[in-house]
Amino acid sequence: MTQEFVFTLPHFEGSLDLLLYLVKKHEMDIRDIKISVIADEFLDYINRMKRLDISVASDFMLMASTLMELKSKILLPNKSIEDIEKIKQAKKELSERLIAYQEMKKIAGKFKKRLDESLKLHSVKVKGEKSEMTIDPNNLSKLKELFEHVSKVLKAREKVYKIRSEKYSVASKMEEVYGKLEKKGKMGLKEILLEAKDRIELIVVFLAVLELIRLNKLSLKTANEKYILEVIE
Amino acid sequence: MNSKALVEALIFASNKPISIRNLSKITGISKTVLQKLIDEIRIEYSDQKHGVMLKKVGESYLFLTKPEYHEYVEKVSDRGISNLTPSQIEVLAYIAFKGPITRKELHEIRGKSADNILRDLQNMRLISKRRSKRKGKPYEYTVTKKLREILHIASMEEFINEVAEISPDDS
Repeated sequence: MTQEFVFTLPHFEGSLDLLLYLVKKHEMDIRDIKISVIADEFLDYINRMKRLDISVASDFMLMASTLMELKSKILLPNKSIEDIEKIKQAKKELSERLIAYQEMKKIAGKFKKRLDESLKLHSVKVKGEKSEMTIDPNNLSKLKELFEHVSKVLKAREKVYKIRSEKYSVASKMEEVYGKLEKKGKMGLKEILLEAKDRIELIVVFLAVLELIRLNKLSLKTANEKYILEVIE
Repeated sequence: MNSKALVEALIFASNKPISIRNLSKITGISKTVLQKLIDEIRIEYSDQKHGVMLKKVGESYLFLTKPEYHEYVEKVSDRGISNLTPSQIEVLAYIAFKGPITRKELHEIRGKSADNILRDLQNMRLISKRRSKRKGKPYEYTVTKKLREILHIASMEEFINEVAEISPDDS
């Protein structure tokens, strides 16, 4: 009969998580970490992870090598004043990172408590009897009209502006349009298209708008014969 | 027309929390009278025969389902973010408190990459990124209106002050 042994290893989110655990375990002052003790135990933990076939994330390896390097420097005899200063600096940096990490954990704990409470409350909204008019995908002539109208307006402008087609990209226009709408909540489609300086920009902006609608970031509705773009939250 | 019923209808129908100022503009009712009507509505709904309650967020009002029915309400809710992982909450909390913040800064503080988490939180529309004006124009992450709505808060500043009072569960 074979006997199965189950080893358990506490799980750490990352290298700083493990480091903080070790510092607390030895009741060390976070501002005065005993590097040699921590470095050995850190390495020991990684070796145990390896033995249990747990993949070791790169940030653990990086931290282990940082600690070992620091430890070897500390153990070296006949250190110059400069070396001692460097070690001090490295220890200070490590402490500072750990303090910042601890602070983040604290914030996250508080945030989680508050978020859990909020998630228990759902906002209630009712729809009015007269529902909003949505766009009929089979009748896009109005949309086409609008595009042609703006296109005409811009054709006149083109005589004044020089075209540099490489100036615009759909991705950057998506960001720009979305940013504008996020600020205002909603805007007329015509308003947005008319901001284009030439026809190339108009086309790029129009594509960006379509892409944002496709990605469910914006909704297009009609109200009083106008096309309204709205941010979907 | 019953003014109290009208105010109730408007709060229910509004897409987002609605302010007294806005209610006054729509209805023509004075702000003092509106405040009185809202207080009456709040008291009525606080009765246990109702499943929803009136909540004040900043200077605005909205109806929320009562927390005791959360387990059931969740089954019909389409919010879809009830299961955030500890790492996701950690990153979200940090962006909420310290944002706008870059990917690199998050990486430094956590000691490891936050790329996947950032992508997931963005897909849930809890955070958004924007190019910063800093050197190299890196993306900066901030929390979205959606998160503020979920937390029922008007501004992040107000929230940070409120949360500072909370004692976290673990040490």
